[in-house]
Amino acid sequence: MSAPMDAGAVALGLAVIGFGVMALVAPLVPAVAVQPILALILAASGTVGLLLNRGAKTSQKKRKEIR
Amino acid sequence: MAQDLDRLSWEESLATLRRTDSSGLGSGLSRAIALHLGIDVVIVRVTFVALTFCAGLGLALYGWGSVLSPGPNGGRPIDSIITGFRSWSPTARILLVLGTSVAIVAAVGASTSLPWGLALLAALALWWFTRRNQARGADSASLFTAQPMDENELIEQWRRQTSAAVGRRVVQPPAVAQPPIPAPPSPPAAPAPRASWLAALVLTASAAGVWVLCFAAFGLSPSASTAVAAIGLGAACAVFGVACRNRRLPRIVVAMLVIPLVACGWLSAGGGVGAPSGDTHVVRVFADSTTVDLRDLTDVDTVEIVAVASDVTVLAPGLPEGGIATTKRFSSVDIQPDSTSPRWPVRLVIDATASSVTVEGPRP
Repeated sequence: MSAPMDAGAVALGLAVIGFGVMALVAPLVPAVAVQPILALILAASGTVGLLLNRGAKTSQKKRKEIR
Repeated sequence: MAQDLDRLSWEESLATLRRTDSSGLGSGLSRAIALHLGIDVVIVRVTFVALTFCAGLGLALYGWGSVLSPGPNGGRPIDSIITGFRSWSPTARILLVLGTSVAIVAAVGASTSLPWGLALLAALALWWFTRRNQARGADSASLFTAQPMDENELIEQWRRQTSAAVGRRVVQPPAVAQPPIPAPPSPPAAPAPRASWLAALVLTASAAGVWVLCFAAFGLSPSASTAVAAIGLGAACAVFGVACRNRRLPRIVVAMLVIPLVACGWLSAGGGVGAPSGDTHVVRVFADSTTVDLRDLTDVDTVEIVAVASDVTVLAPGLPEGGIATTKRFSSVDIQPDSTSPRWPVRLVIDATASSVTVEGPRP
């Protein structure tokens, strides 16, 4: 059985990608929309990390119960 | 006395939380709250993340919740951090918690664009939720003494209150002794992933190489080079996290990803790395020490200087006629042209974050 994927690295990596892209395209985006888009990027990447992490914890718990 | 008890109720409710598992990235507070409330820990974590967007309120609450709740060893971290905290008066404790929380929200709200108004609304919502729960408890307590009841009603009410206090638990009848079911063979446990410092070094060096390549070979600005390097570093970390299951990046390296994250966030909030539009001349300086010469600048109405973590000297031809607007966040801005300086037909806007900006007038 393979180890769970590194949820923290994946989530932070996705957030950095989104923020970097946003820094490049910010001149093309209305100023009032920049902050909500950044917040959405952060929330989305955090949700991805939580979901990945949740799956890992659940499988660990099942293994403990089986033992 | 009643007021003291009311003031201490929040601290006592925190004391009922016990952070039994602090092996993760956090202190285990989310898991303790989820266990206490009987909800999924993901909901508590998302709530803390959402509150962090409210000018850092989530960070303040998480920090105070962690130090005020007992850890795995049974002791509260606050008692070892501040000796004698337990002997402080309730008012002093509340003032310390509220004061530091407001200071954190004010600092984060001033240094970032995260809305402090949302923090105020969130704090009011939390206060209302707490008061509502207290009122419900008072109502149920008053029912207990409002009207005389017979013994059966009293016993039934006591059962309802006890089950409400314990939570939704179904009391199972005593199980009939059965032969133990043999446990199925457990799957082989996955080996714990090891930290790969070599991969972290390679990824960091690659990101630095991308920055140098963009800046020196392709002639991009430092800001644009930072954004491109951040995208590359983030993609490499995400791919590494997905692909390499038996190795993982060291936690300290993953935490350091916050630096390009914050840098790109600042660049985005400042309008991005592109060229300005209209009759506004924008100069952006990011993590640099430089001199900006504006003495030959013509055909602009507004000059905007955005400095982040920089030391900037601006050479101006005179005193801006349209006025000077400054926004300082942990910064110092020194305007040297005075009323005797020649007039400069522009409006000067200075947005400084953790920077030192000096505007010098015409030199003799």
